[in-house]
Amino acid sequence: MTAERDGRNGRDGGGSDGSAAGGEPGARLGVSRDAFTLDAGLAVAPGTVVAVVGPNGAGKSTALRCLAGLTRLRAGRIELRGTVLDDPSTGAFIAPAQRCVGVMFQDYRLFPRLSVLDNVAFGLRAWGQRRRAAADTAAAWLERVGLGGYADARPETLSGGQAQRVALARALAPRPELLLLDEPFAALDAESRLDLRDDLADHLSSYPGCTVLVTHDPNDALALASRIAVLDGGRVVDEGPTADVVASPRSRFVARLVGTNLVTGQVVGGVAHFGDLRVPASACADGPVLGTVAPAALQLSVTGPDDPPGLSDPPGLNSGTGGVCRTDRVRRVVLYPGFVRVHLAGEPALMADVPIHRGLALVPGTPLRVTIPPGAMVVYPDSAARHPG
Amino acid sequence: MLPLAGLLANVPWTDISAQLRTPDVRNALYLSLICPVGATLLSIALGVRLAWLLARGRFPGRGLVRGLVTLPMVLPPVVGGVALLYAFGRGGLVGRWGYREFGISLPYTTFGVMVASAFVSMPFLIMTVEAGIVQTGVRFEEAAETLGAGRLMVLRRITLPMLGPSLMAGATLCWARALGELGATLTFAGNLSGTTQTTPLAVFIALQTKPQDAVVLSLVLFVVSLAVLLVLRGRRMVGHQ
Amino acid sequence: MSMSAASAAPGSIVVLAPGTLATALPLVDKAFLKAHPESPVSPNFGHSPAQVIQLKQGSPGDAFLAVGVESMTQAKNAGLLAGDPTVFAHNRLEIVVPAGNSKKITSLADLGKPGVTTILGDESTPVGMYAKQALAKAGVTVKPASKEEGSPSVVQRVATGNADAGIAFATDLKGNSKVTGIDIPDAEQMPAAYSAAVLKGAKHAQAAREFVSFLTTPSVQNQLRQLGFLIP
Repeated sequence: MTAERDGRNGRDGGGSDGSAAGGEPGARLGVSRDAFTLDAGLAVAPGTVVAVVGPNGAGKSTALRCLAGLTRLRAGRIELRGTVLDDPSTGAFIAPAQRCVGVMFQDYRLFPRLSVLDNVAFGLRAWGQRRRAAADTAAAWLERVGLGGYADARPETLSGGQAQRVALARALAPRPELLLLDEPFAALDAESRLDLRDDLADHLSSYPGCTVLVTHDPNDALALASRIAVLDGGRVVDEGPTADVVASPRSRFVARLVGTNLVTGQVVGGVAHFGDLRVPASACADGPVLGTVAPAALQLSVTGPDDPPGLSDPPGLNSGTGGVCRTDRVRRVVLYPGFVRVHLAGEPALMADVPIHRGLALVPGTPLRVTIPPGAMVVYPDSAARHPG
Repeated sequence: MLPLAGLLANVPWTDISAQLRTPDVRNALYLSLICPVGATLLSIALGVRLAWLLARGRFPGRGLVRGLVTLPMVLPPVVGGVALLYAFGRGGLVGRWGYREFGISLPYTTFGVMVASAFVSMPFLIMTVEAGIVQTGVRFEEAAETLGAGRLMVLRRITLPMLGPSLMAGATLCWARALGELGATLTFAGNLSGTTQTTPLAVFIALQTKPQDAVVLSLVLFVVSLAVLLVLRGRRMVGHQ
Repeated sequence: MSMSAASAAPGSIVVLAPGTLATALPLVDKAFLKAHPESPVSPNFGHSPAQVIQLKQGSPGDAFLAVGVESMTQAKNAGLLAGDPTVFAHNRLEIVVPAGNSKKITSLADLGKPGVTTILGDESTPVGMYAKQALAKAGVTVKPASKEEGSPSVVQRVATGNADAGIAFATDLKGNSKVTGIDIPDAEQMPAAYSAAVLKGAKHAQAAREFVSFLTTPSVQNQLRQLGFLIP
């Protein structure tokens, strides 16, 4: 397997071509452990946050452990500010303790037998600071994360949110060049998540080093990261500025996470074919394409029981202002706060969001007509399809 | 509880102080004070590293080693004593050489009692400490490493302090087992008041002809065990608050 | 304080016997069973002084076999016996040394020498009690390395090379090639008499009487002689 560093056509903001030029740390990871292979290219610029997202088992945590030096690479190379941290091809390896890397673990791993202050001071002591100086710095960090009064507390007495902030202070106190955040909110309840996400964003904005954030929650990535790398099956399947990746998802994983419909198809002569859907795509050259359409943009109208499905309106291109239509059936109805998500039975499978008062009338099997308004579906070339991996 | 009641019912309360002052009884109690402690220290010295290897080591035959380590737990202590005799006795595999070269021999010495008790009680320490190491895992050690802590600092500030509770529990179990040790000690170290006759041995011997002595010694052993358990339990409860 | 509750087949004679008879008694029992198929014997081995204490505390039993006059006298004085005891064998003390006798031990006096690791029996056991008396007769002071809980243990210590010498009953050395016995002259000897008596609380008094008198029959006496016992 080779590194997928192709980037997306027109998506890269420039400068992240995988080289470590200009003091930018580049990381190419290749890990193979038992049945699991990870092959990921990552480049992180100083002062920025790159989010590594992907489903469970995609290799996110392994990538993070490699960056920390807790797991050794089998192939690939990790470089930080021009220093090679790990390169199996040359045998270069710098132990975790010698790396300028701070890690905030998913379970925080605050030392249970040390006070909160000693936890934060630990890294400073390890890097050779005197006891008094380390304690002063640690106290300042606790102040910064709003826990000035908890210096003597034991970690087990802290709430989840407090523990997270101590873990952050502990990781940042030795001023690492690379900060690694492993699912920073996984151990928290949904309510405290929102507040802490803002807090963390504040702290990260004043942190000059590089940050790699591993998360399965795209909302974390949206709130914290300027770039996203999507990992699936041990490979980077999408990478680019956060806004771009979210706007036109390249992977079903991201599409599902951001709650949009993603369909794959082919453009032939300016028309995109997605199953039985025909959508005008004059801007695209012939070849594989992806299409996304927000569920809220789809329009549903219930067809009469006498209206035999599939006959009233042959599926196809509607070049008029009415958009693209097809007949369909309700497969499943899920109630959300404020709207109802209707999963449709047709191929390709789509989902549509409708207001609650309308959605409640729908039951599985209800025949209906789906309309995609003109311009609602974004069609773009599927570059990854050219590199079947 | 019933056997204890039977014991208490037979205690000659009136001349208990006189009984406790006989030289044999005092010797036995003294040896029961120092030998289990010695056995526990010996077990810590040899056992902690072994526990570490069992918990963290990746080497062929680890299961076999663990089996061998736990063997003294299921082996009748007398058999353990015989095995020790053939290893460290004057005619034993190792003991023969030690006796010939240096004139040292473990049987009939107080240190021999400690060795015999340690043999029987060390598995309790090893198993407890190993479980503690496994349970703690490498999580905190990894965290310390990423913070820049070298091997020594990780050991001193993280690993050993985390080991504390399981080491304490293991040492207590080890000590308790050593306190009650009879079979291996009698077989390996012998029975002589003031040198190798610990309280359980004295009880065992006295039972034959002087049951009253046996009852008094048993009572002392019972009170001491109870006190130690209560103290430890109290400590644990304080620790949990 | 009963240490060994007799777990015997119904109808069997419960015999309390000293540990030194552990080899001999099963052979005797076998012969007895041949003559009296309805009365199997279930022996209970222990130290004679301890068994007297157990009997005083109410332990059940049909016959009592003791080594040493003292234990039997105690039992008699405590009113435990039905009838007078019969002496059926004697045992002698011997100095037990490892085969080869590397320390060149010839007499009890050698046991008190420095550098000789000597093992005695605990005074609570017959072998320890007699050894103590024998040493007193010989005017020898011995600092034992250990006081074992029986004559076989003393022999075992010497046989495994963990002692230079010990004092044990001659019968316990018999057939053990790793040890050699050195005779103790009659002047220093403490001959240990083995006596048998029927117990007052016997459940099978008749069978127990037959068993006690069986011990003095020529065939049993012959068997005991072969095992190293002295016959009266």
